[in-house]
This record gives sequence, structure tokens and C-alpha cells, in this order.
Amino acid sequence: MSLSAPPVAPPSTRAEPNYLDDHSIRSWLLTTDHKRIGLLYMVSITLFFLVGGAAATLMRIELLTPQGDLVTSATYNKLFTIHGVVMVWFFLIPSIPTVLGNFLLPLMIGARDVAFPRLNLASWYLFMAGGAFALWSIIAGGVDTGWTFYTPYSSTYANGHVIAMATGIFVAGFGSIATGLNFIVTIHTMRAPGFTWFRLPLFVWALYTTSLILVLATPVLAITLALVALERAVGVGIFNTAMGGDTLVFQHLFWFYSHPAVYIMILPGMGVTSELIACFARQRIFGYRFVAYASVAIAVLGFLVWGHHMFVSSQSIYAGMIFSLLSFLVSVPSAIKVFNWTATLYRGSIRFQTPLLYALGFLGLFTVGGLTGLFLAALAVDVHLTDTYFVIAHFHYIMVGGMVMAYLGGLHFWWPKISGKLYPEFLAKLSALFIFGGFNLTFFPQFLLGYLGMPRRYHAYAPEFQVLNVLSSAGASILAIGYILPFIYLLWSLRYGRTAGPNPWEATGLEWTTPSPPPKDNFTAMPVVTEEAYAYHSQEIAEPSRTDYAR
Amino acid sequence: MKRCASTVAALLAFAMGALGQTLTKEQLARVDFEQHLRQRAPLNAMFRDESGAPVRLGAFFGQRPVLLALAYYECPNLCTLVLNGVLESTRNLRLDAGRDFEIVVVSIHPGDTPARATTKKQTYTTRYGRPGSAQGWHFLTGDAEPIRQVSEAVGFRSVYDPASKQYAHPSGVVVLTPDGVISRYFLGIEYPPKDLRLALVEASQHRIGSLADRLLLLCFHYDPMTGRYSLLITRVLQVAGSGTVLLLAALIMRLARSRESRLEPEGHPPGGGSPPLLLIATWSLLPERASDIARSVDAIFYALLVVCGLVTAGVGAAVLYFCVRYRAGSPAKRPAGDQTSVALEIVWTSATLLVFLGIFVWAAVVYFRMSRPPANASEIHVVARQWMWKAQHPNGRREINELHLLLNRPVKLLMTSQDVIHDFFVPAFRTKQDVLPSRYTVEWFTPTRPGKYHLFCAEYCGLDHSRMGGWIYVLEPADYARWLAEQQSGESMVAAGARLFQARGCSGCHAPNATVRAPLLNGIYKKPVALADGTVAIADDQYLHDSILLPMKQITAGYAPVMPTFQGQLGEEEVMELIAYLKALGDDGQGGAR
Repeated sequence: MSLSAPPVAPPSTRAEPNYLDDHSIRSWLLTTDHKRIGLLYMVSITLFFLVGGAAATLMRIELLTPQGDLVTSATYNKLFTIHGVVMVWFFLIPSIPTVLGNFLLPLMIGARDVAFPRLNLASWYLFMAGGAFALWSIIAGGVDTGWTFYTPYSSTYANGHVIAMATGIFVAGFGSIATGLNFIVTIHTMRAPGFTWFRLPLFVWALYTTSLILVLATPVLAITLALVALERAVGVGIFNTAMGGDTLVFQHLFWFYSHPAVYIMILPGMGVTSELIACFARQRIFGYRFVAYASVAIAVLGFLVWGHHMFVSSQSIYAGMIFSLLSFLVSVPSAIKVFNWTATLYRGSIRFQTPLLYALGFLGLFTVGGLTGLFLAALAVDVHLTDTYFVIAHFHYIMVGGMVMAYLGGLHFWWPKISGKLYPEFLAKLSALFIFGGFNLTFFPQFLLGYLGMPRRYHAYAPEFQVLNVLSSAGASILAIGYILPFIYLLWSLRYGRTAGPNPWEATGLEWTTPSPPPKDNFTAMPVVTEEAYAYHSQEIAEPSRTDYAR
Repeated sequence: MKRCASTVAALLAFAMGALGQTLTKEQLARVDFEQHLRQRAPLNAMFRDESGAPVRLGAFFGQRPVLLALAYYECPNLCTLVLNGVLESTRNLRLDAGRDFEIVVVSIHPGDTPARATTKKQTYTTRYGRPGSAQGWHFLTGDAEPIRQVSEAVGFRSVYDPASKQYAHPSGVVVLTPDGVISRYFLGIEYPPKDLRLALVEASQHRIGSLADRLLLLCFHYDPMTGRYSLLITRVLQVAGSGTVLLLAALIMRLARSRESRLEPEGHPPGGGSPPLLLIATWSLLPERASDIARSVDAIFYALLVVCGLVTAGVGAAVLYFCVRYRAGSPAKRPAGDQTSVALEIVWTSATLLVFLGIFVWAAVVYFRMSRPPANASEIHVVARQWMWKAQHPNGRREINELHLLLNRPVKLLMTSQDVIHDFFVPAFRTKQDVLPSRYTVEWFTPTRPGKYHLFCAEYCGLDHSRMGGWIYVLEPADYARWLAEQQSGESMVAAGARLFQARGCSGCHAPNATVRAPLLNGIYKKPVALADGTVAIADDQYLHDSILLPMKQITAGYAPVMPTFQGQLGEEEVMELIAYLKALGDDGQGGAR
């Protein structure tokens, strides 16, 4: 977008004052700067990712052989619970919104900070407090309910620290709600002059719709977990049929939150992908309004499809039909987005730099993940596939293939803005390829396993499933390399990376008009927006970028 | 490349400034490096070497590829830059000049002498600094005619400016094969070592270079637009495409074979410690299919596979095509203007919607059928508990973690759990149903193929969830009869229920001659019951179950709520027997006294 923003000062040898200047611990722990809070989240969720990833690694090693001989079944059950809880609530849900969202939202809309900076810091403390509960429950002996906490197992039969784990999720949930509220108010009230809704970058639209879900759905999760804790600790009969409760009520409540939560986990990824594809195709997003409306449609319809997790739970078959129909409907906006991203490449001037590789990876994996969702939405087919590895593969294609790819793509795209440094392009491309290849090798066999009938959460399995499980574990080791590489070279670039300059990608968007790293207050003068988002002109730049620094 | 080109432009301008105004625009426009790929160099042209001895140009060919540069030794800037570029680039190569390739510099100035050539040679071989480099670098001088021949052959067009006694000339180097065929051009003054290496390897017809270089050359190709070696996307696509086709072919063969093998009755892969090879041999990509509903489910599955495969392939092909065609720097046209097309959005939205709705309806119809057991289905009672399956046949025969079924007879499972949620999953039947505590759920199927099939618990139920499984045996009538005869069944479910009805004191109230006033239960099954709160319930299995275990839940209108709960006194299996008895009670007024 061309703006009458303050001209960027010419790069000078002397470092300009920026938000990273104060190095004291105190300045970090008491900061209300949205950029620093974004980094606090980045460090925290990276640690949680390592915890969840370690659990996944142990599981994949265990599954190399059918007998279940590496760890006991009790340990295995705790491992998949840790993996699920940590990855869902302490990595995926916070990932893009709290790291990239916190860092970028005010920069993108031309504000100095979010609407409630202190609430923003409080969100991080709530998140960390929740994380502390979760980690404590893991260290103290773990929980073996699975991340879904199905009753009556979780409320009556499970051993372990269910209440501590539930408390962790409960507390972290308030952090989510506060972040969502903060974003909604910020987007409504703090856009720069001239920034109309349809001039907003699609990432802002994605954050807005995500925030709506966070605010509306998370309380239901809090209620549900509180009820489980109540039944478990005090013996109030809510879900326990022996006490006059109803087991299925838990599943309805849980999925009323957890299905929209899936969209919390994918909408921000879609937003990032829009930014990346537009920038590296040098094109305005094809059908901008349709992509924006699709986010809203997903957020709204996403609240009406929870019952598709319960087709075999003995829910009424007519309810099942309605949920199935709505699930097919909610997949239409996702398809629209995929088509529009593809069309954006048309007549672009495409530069194959790392962030685009991630975005294209997202596009491919999300398409497979989304389409396999149709198998699970189709009633008769779901009966066979649900609770098998097909479901595992499907949602990992969305969550890992989609969201994590988008998170890494976004991280690479905005890393020069965040750190002021460039990372080594070749290594970055290499790791993107490792992740794409390793991911497919890990999770594609799981589709086959699921169709063959291997149930999920199995510590030991029938021997005929071994070949595919070995393939999957082999893929996981490649995937692990792909994840470790960025960790190393991004850290390396902090010290040794080349200086990025304010706009290394020649991208549009207000965040690129301010120096890298940005000054404490983001902009030296109030930016004014006069154009729509993504004012790229592919026909003018049909040359390889001069910033293609990898060469 | 852009940076490089602009430097050259600047240098040319500088050179022209030095040249003065004597050259006309037309003359300057002639200066160019035309690419005469696959043409032959005049190997018979005669030059002088550094010692002044006559030498055929062809003397440097025959064994090795040649890097040819045209320059003149008094050139004030550009030629030196070209030669420095060659030096920089070749110094970074693992290949050695003289051993792997030759560097030949031909002077375009007839006035250049062997003495000047010697000086140049000394400068560059010293800076090149590899042993034997004197054999690798050759600086030739010659007369106007052979110079013209070589210049024309390689497309090197220069113009002499008599005023400044300088040449206006293009910059670049040429790579030739050992046979003297022009293979590659590198324009400008910087030659990326990777690209130069690949060009030399390619020109040598792969006589030099490593295996890795040759593999690289399979996937990288020379792009004349940029003058660089770039990833050959079409080649990658070819490889990926052929790979996919091969994979599909293998898959189809695999499927065809596994279908044949399934015709044998004992189609189950061997278990336990079979060696990996055996595992792969018995490994199938399709689950066995052993129920009537399985075929319908698979049909939808394959239809979805085709639809989703087409969409994925379409999106993938479009992305790849656009990525190749509209890569930065490609010559494809990119007209200005907003691309967004509302018509297109409407078309693909409604097309997607229609296809999705079609699949929805199809799957819903099959699901509806799966959810409705036929009236003639034989009823088997299943009770799940951590971590075992207990089943009871109508004749009273009990099984644990096994279920023997008669071929082609519809079976209805009436299931409940004693503790947490379990799930009765038989992949070969494509059916699955959660088994809930205190609630009856129903699953039905018609086994259509004799064999032994996995039974899994598919809902996580705690510690030994993964070991909570067993086998379903589908038997031919003769085998089934043999199995039935194997063991005395004992009393039937109805008889057991009748015994419990007496022993547990049910008959003390629910009988015509009872002292306590309680509803008579004759013929109650599936009948409407008026409740105290004004509603009406149907006395189905669930109602009867709850009335025994949770009597306060639904109180029959007109009766005092005096029934004690039997929770903790009757197990789920006993409750099932009681219900079987109640179902069997006809409407004949005999009551519980039978």
C-alpha cells in the first residue's frame, strides 16, 4: 500500500533506537510493548513445542514395533495426553495469534500498541500460569485421559493429576479470552486514518475472526473443565450416569469449544498465507473480499458443526445428518480460499523465497487436510474412519501441515522485521523442504492405517500395521531435522545475520514502512492509508528481486 | 543478474565516454554478443602462441572443454574485468585449468604481440596459482582474418574506434565442447562458479566432474534468459509425474492382488514375529471387506477419493503451472488491472457446494441404513468393561473377546458398558459404535464372508485400551452348527432372566398376586407408558434398564415411587437377561409368576 507514511530514514551505520534496546530482565517481564510480549510468547511456545515434540518423538519410536515394548502402556497413554494438551493449548492455539498477532497487529494497522497493553501482559502471565500447572501435572506423574478428557473416564476412572491439568488449561484459557478481546477492540478502534475494513490486510481479518472465536468459545471450555473438576473432586453428578448425569453432555460441551478451536488454529494460518502469497507473487490477493468473508463464514459456521465428532456416540441420527450437512457447508469457504490463493499466482511475478515455499507447502497440505475432512464429514464413511489414524492424519495435515507451516512461513517472513536480521536463505529453503517431505512421509501413511482400521491411541497394535508405522516414524525423524534447523539458524542470525533493512521483501503493508527492528512506539508519525492492501504490481517487476540475497 | 547487467551498462557508457564521439549510434548498436549455440568454432584458424610460434586453434581442443574469451591486451578496462571474472570464478572451481579444461584467450586486436600475451599469461597464471597452470591458460594473437573468423563464429561483434584506438565490444565468455561446438555463453563480467562448473561438466560430455555434478545437471538446466543454470522445473515435474504414475500402477497391482488373496477364507495376515519381508508381502492397502454395508461404504470412499484426487491434482497442477509460467523474470504477459472476477467466485463456490451436497446425501442415505437394524436380526448382548468384551448369545452361550457369527445372518448387538465409554469396532464390517455406561447402543451388520476379523476398542478407555480387542469369527452354517454343539449353552437368556425375576424379588411386586402395588409387566416391551410427570415413554430396552437401575428417573403414573434401585446388586449382564425375559413375556396375563 502506498502511504503518506513518514519516509524511512536511510540506513546508517549507527543502530537506531528500537524496541529491543533495554536488555534487563525486568524490562522484559514488566513490558507492555506488544512487540516484546509477542517475543515472550514466542520463547514460551517454543519451549512448549519442545515438550510436546519430545512426547511425539517417544510415541513414534514406540510405534516402530507392534508389541509396545519401549514404554509401558501407562506411559504411552500419558505421552499422547501430554502431546495433545501441550500442542493444542500451549502451542497451536497461541502460536500465530499471540506471537505474530501480538507483534504485528498494531504495526499493521498503524497503531502504537494494542488497546489494552497491560491486559496484554496479564494475558501472558495467565498463559504462563496455566502452562506452569500443566507442566507441574506432567512432572508430578502425568495424566492419561487424552487431550479430550472424555467422561466418565476423566471424572471417575482416570488416575493422575487431571484436575491440575484441567486447571492449567482453564487458566490459560483466560489468557486467550483477554488476547481475543484486546485484538477485537484494537482492530475496531485503533486503525490508522484511512484504514477502512476492506483495506485491511487479510491477516488482520483472520486475527479478528480468530479473536471472535476465542472470546465466544473459550468460556465454554472453562465451564466444561470446571464441571469435570467438580465431579471428580466433589462428586457432583453431572456426567456420571450412575449419579444421574449424562456422559454425552460432556462431549457436546467439549466439542462446542473444541471444534471452533480448530478454526482458532487454522484461520490465523490462512491469514499469514494470504500475506505471503501476495508478497511473493507480487499480486493483490485474488478475490480479496471473498477471502475476507470466507474467514467470517468459517468463524460463524464453525460453531454449528461440533456434532460431527459424535456420529458414533449414539447421538440421534437426525442430529448427525444436520451436523454432517453443516460440516460440508463449512468446508466451502475453505475451498474458496484455496482457489483464490491459487488464482493469485496467476499473472504474478513469483519469487521462490523461503516464506513462499512455506506458503505453497501450506496450500498443498491444507488442501489434502481439508479434503480428507470431507471423508469424515460424510456420515457413513466417518463411522468407519472416526477414532482411527485417518482422523490423526487428517487433523495433523490441518494443524501441522497447515498451521505450523504457516507459523514458520510467517516467522521467516517477519523475522527481518522482528530481529532486524536476515537468516541464511539456503538453509531456510532446505528446512522448508525437509519439513514438507518429512511431514508427508510421517502422516500420509497414517491415512492408510486409518482406512485399514488401526484405532488411535493404541500403545500396541496388530502386526500387519507395522510397515506403515515404520514409514511414519521414519518421516517423523526427517520432520524433526526440519524443525531443528530453523531453531538453529534463526538464533544464529540474531548475532551473525546480515542487516535486513526496513523492507527486505519489498512488501506492502504499514509494518514495512518502519525501521527493522521497529522503534519502541512503532511509527515516528501517524501513518495515513490511501490505498487498498497488496498494491503489488507484478507487471512492473518482472525481474528477479535485487534483494535476492541468497545468490 | 540485474546488478551485473547494470554494471556492464555503466562500464560500456564509461568506455564510450573514453571513446569520444567518433562512433555513431548505429555503429555502437552493432556491438553485441550473439549466441551461436551448437555452432562450430573455426578450429583451423591459425594464431600465434605466447612464444610467437604458429598454432592451430584446434590444438587446444580434442581432449577437454574450452573456456574461450575474446579480449585485447591493451584494453583499458572491460577486457581486464572479463579476464578477472574468469580468474575469480575458475579459482573457486575444484576443476583444474590444464587438467580438466583449457582457458583460451584470443586477442581481437591484430596489433597485439606475443610479448604482450606473455605478460598477460604470467599475470594470470601467477594469480591462478595452481601447479601446471601454464598448460591451462593460453593467450593467442593473430592476424585480422583468423580473428574475424573466430569472432563471427562465436557471435562476438565489436567495433574499432580509430580515434581512441580502442574497441567497443561486448563482454562475456564462451564454453565449447572438446569438439569445438559452442555449448554455453556467460555474459557480463561475473561468472557464478556453480554455473561455470556445470557448463564445463556438461560441455565435457560428462568426462569431468563428479557424480553429484551429473545428477545436478539432470535437474538444472541452462536458462538463456538469465544466463544461469536454474532448476529445471519441467524435468522435476517429469520425474515426479512418472513417479506418481509408477506408484499408482504399483498400488493398483497391489490392490488387485490383495483382492484375489482375500477370496481365500483364512485371509488374515500372519501375526507376531514374522520377518519384515513377509510383512511387506502380506501387507495390503485395503481393509478386508466382510459385511454387506462395507461395499456401500467403500463405494462412497472411492468416490470421495476420486473427487478429492481430482481437486488436489487440479489445484496442484494450477499452482505448478503458474509457478513456472509466472516465475519472476519469465517472459509471460502480465496485463495490469484488478484480476478479481465475481463470476469465477460464484462458479467455483456453487460447483463446490453442489459436489459436497451430493456426497452428503449419498453418505447420509447409507448411514441411515446402517443405523436401522432389520427386524429379523438376531440379537446378541454385549457388555464392555475395562478391558474386555463379553457377549451373550440368545441361547445363553457366553463368549469373552470373541464372537462367533453365522454367515449372512443379520446380527444386532445390544451393547452397554460397565464402566467408561468403549467402542465396538470391526474394520472388516466398516461399522463402529460407542458403548456407553448405563445406556444401550445398537450396532448391526450382516457378515457376508467367512473368516476371522479384528475386533478393536476404538474409544480410549484407559490403561489397556490397545489390548481390548478380540476376534470375530464368521462361520459357514456347518461350522456354525459345530461350534454351537461344542459346548453346552446352559440356560437361555430368557430362562436366566426368569430365574433372576424370581430370585431377586421382582415377582414379589410385579405379579398379579403381589402385595405391593406395582405395574404388571406382561407385554410391556415397546408399549407406551404414561409417566407421573405427564409424559409418555416407550418401554424399550433403555427404559427397562433405567427402571431397574434408576427407578426414580421415570415414575409410572398412578404408582407410588417405592421401587428400590438395583444398582450395585445387578450387573449389566443380569439386567440384560431380565430384559430378555420381559421381552419374552407375552400379553397373556401370566405375569411374573411363570
